[in-house]
Amino acid sequence: MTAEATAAPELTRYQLTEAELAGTPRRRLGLAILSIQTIRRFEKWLLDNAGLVHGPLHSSIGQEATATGAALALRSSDWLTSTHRAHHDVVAKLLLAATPADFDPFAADAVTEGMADPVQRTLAEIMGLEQGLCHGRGGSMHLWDRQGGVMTTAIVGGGIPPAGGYALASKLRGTGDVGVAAFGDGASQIGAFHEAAALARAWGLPLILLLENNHYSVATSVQETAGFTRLATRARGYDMPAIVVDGMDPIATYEAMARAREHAVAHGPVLVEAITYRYYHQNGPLPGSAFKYRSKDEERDWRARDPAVAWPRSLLEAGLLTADEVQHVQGLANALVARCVAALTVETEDGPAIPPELYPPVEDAHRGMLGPGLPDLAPELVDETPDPGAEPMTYTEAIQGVIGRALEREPEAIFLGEEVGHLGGGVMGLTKAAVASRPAQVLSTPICENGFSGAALGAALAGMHPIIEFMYPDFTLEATDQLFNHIAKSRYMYGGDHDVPIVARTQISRGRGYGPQHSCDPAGLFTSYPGWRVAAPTTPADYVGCWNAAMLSRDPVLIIDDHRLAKTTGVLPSAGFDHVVPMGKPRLVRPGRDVTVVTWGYASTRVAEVVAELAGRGIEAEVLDPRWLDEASFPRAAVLESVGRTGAIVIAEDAQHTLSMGARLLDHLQPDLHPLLRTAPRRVTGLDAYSPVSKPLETYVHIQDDDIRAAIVAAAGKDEA
Amino acid sequence: MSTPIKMPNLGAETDEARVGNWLKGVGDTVMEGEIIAEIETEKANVDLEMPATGRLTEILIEAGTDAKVGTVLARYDEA
Repeated sequence: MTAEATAAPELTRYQLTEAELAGTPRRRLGLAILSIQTIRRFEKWLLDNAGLVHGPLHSSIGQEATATGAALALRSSDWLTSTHRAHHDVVAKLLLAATPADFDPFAADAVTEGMADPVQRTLAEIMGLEQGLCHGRGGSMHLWDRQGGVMTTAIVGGGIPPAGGYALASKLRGTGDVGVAAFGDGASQIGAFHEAAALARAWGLPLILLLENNHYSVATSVQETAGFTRLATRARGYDMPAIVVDGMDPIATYEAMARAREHAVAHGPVLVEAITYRYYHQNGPLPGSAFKYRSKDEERDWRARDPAVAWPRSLLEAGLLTADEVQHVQGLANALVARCVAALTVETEDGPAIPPELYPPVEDAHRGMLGPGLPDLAPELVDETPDPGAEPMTYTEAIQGVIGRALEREPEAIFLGEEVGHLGGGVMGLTKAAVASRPAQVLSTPICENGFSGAALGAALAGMHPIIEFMYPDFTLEATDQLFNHIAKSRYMYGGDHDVPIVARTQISRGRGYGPQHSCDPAGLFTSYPGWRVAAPTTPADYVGCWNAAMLSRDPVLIIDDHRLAKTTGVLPSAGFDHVVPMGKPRLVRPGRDVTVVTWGYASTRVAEVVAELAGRGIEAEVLDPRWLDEASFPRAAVLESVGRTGAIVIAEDAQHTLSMGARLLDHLQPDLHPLLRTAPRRVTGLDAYSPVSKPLETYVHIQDDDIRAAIVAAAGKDEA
Repeated sequence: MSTPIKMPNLGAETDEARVGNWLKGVGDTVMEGEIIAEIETEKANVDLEMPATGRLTEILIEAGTDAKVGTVLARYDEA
């Protein structure tokens, strides 16, 4: 994927002329008033009734024209991400996306049902109600609507990479839609902005970076956070054009956004800096001046340009609309908000109250943490019998083959990561087959783990099937915001009903002298965030099977391999590269009667040797490879069944002790485990040291055969023969 | 008609704040937007403004006293 070269990027200031305003269709003026007034009424009602909202209210009052102008320039199928302060962006986008082409704001007696519905569901979500956009899980700061094309996130800058992902999906599919990331001046400092801008520029994505400069991040001015005030100049660093526009004027903002949209679709990303102002403090009903970080005079100057008051008045003065027309449209907006409020509250002596039956049922509090699991699978896909006609293959060949097969099977699967399309198959050679057969689906990214992880989220929410590769597991820490604040939480916090199909893969590189920053086992990290499923397949057949389960899953799945397994061999079942190992299904490596050993990955290769030796000494260990490690996918019942026969358990893994899984798995097996045990449960891990470079030290900190042996013997609790 | 001035909602972090100091007294006629008191929270000191021009008739919460959001702090007669 490439972008076109451009001449020196432009930084233009868009100035609406009187002639352009006079030439603006009256309907557009009417819709702008409708949107601005709806947002204003909506926000005022919330501030006046803050007691009905559980949580903070970051009012957008003052910024309505920016959101309205932007939404007027967008298609309903364009996708907008926004921030903790997003009521204006969401109401404008959803209301205008739902406005029928023949809706005449000057003639209609009321907005249509279809226009009212998303506004009511937005208000309901902010109030935490079942009919809300996200069934009350997201509230004010985490809003989502697929149909109207909005997603908001409470993490500053967090919505920018997913908007790029939507733009990526649009470009690959050729839909002509754009992704729009609305964010504030504060967000232009954070890494997510820069990674998303870099990725969008490198790939020429149809992304509009809508910088709503309201001059303050909480109480810190732009001058103080940035050292300068014209933030649009940041676009120059990415060789992209920028347009600065008066964000207090909806038509000027519309014109700038319409030009930006045209550029984005034809050429690639563009930044629009809308100069605007929030009249209130960060949150709550007081003006910023009450907190003394800005003056009343400054606020008065901006109030004089109030988009809900001064702008309609300017239309009257210009003779473009009559007072009756303005009042009529404002009346539609007021009636719309009143109607939403009436649907969600009852009047009491103490003012409006929420009928208890409108809250979500508490039984639903856990619903939608994960998707519904795998579809029904044909028996031949899950049959694990090695194919008698097949040759053994290496673990590496299994990885190469199944990645290639996945991209061939799914034209909308895309593989993103650093170098993955270069060197004939990435730095590890694992995309070799994919590059050979489906090069267009293998996208080498800039070095931007957070950027490409967020892009994967946006593409996944748009319905594509992204696969992301982290060259080393430790590099996932660069992407923690997108991996854990966003990808892990997206299904749940946006209502539990939509799929987040992302496959992530990485390779444990302990034992190669890469040192403390290339050697972690990421299982403990990823399983700390439910929403992620985690597989650690040990054999070629298991890798293929877990991979295909991950591709069939509608949840994000991390698949961990280990370079120390690269040359190990095995024979695939007869389903070949279509073989599936469902979540919750372990592999019985070896039956035994004296102790159950749960182990996977490199550790399992050490366990195999120790167990064979102990068998000669009269201790018969049963070895189970769980294959799936997250709590929801771990084969709990099968492990308990085994321990029920052996009365003892050892968990052996090569992770650094503190980052290891064993303690958590033992806790997950409780309280059912304890009554089954004859002896204390035992864990074997690496030492609690970051894998050092010096070879003898490195070897010493990894899992040791002597420790495995001692644990199994002690747990078995019997004298050796 | 006497109108209440209530302890404002200062954001989600707190449901209580302290009246730090009254800058106007009973009987004073105050313009809309003039600061009548300072409100102190753990995070910030904020100005309490006169909601509409009028004459203060009662001060119900003394300086230095904590009050919940929504508590009537004073009353005034609109001009």
